[in-house]
Amino acid sequence: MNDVTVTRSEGCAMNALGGVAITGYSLCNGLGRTTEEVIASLAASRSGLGPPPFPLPFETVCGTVPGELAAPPAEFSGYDSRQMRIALQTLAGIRAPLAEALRRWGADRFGIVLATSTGGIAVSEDAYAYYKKNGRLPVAYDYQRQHTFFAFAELLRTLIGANGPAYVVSTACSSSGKVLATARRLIAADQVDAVLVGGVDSLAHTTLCGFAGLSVLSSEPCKPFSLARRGMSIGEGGAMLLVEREGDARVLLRGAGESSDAHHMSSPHPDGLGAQMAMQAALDEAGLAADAVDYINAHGTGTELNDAAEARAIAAVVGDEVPVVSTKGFTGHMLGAAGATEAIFAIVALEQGWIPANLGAEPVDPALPIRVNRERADRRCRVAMSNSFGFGGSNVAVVLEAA
Amino acid sequence: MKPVYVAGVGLWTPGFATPRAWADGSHDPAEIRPSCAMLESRIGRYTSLVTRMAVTALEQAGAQSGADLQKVQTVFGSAYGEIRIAFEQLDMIEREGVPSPARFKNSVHNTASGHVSIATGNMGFSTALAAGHATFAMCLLEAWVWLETHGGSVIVAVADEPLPDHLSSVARYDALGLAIHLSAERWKSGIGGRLSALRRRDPVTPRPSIPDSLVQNPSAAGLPLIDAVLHGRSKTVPVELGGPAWSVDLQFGEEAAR
Repeated sequence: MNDVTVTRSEGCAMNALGGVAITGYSLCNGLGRTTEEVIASLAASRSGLGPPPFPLPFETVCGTVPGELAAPPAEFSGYDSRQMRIALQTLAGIRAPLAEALRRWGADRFGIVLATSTGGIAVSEDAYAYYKKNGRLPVAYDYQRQHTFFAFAELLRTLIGANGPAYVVSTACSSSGKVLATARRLIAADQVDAVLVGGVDSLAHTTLCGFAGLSVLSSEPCKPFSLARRGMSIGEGGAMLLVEREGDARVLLRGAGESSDAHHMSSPHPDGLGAQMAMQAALDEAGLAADAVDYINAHGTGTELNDAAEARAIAAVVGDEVPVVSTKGFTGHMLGAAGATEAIFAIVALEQGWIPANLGAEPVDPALPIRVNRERADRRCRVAMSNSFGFGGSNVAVVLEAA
Repeated sequence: MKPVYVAGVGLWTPGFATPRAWADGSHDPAEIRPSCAMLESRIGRYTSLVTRMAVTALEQAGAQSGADLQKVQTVFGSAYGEIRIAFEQLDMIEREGVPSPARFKNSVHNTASGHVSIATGNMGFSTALAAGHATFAMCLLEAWVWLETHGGSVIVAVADEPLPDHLSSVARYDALGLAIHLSAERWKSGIGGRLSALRRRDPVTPRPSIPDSLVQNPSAAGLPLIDAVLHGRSKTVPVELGGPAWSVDLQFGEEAAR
């Protein structure tokens, strides 16, 4: 597939970290406000993409969380932002297993590692416009608690009463895939016994206009892996998973691999070399051969370059027979929430025995050496892989196995 | 977790171009821009002060230890990240409808990570974190658990630039970037020192002295450790300011040789 010489990084000989249990998960995005609504739409092959919720100087579609989202409790109103509201809605869907894990392991052994790409930038967009008009910031604006990357993790830690390590990973669109890898290491290094991981991002002018400026935003719903693909669609959402050392596992997180492209800030390596390394590292860590993989949830943004590079990477690592799905035609690209959301979609496939459709794939680009799953398919899967890639050439792949 | 070893450190803040200049107190008012030697000048032009500081501090730590920057793993941290570019983009969106691609590409929290990877050809593990005033502590933890589970070595680089003027009521501070190269095994050369017992505990006394101009910079939480390493002092060092907070034991000499 490629003739590039890869310099092996220090510390790449993976220790056997063992599998950790994923004991709960929660979703909130353009497909619905609850996990049940989201999965029902996914199962029905019903896209959540629609008109953007605010005016833009170009045509596009977005995945917008439907309906009103509840504000934080009154005593924490200073944290209010759309990102925070999505986070709280997502948290509500995982409260029961979370409470049980906190009781089981104790607050000091419970960590929080969340992800975001843009934090609460949407609040600052409004506040800055107000500042430029009025010469002062709005009274209710609180940069620290409404915008900064860590703010939503800080509030969630307070609300659930966790007292272990807490931080936010922000590596653009790979962020919430990488938190799964981090959780695994924290448990393996005996720093915690349980970790709440996930990612949350809200729609913002900055991201929509930024991708438009790069000429990679589609005016119609994105069509990953299609010959007719014209770029990406952006979405907002939240996804959270509970990772525990052991317990009543819904699935096992068997391996995770991370790499860097060392190629370009916003374009993937053309052969997906970094992606290959991440996928292979995840398999190595899981102790599984490539032919063990039954299903791949691809990063699949719908851009010309990403889909071509990722298809080459998948073909190089697992071949061209494994069903591949990008679910971004359902949700749009949720940036810092994408990786965790798509890992959960892979978990649903393992639990429920069906693989979602790759919406918009027809006609599949014949130049892509992969098997794109065009329609929802009933199929028992034992092992699934989920890929996430981001600006800066940041790559992660996770391997999940049915419990 | 097993102890880890300090192989090198880096530091840049206005007036102090190197860790040694900082340790010696030799202020140079002409030092106002991090050298950021590994980035081509055309790339450097588009990068922020926060990225240039992180890259420069990482270069210094790597140079001191003799690290192979193509192979070392990296953990970057910043509480506020590319905050100036974030607001510059809003000005561009207002004027032109979209931000410039160069600005947008350099607006992500892992900008320094991406540039270092590209400049050095490093295809290994790299990440970028934020944890408010515990950012440095959590970067140490992320690096440490990597070393515990994978071995090898990791350079941690953290930086925060001053907030834009309209956010000056939030915090006012000088720019600061610093880095520390940690190894799972005793390093063959470099500055030395062994770290153990990274954990949250009661505030360390006496409280470390941090210059007024930096005390509100979130990355200044790493200064006491860099200072202690530079001066070869065995002690318990806070890596998060305030308390109860994260701290770590630093040892030199025979204790560190064990």
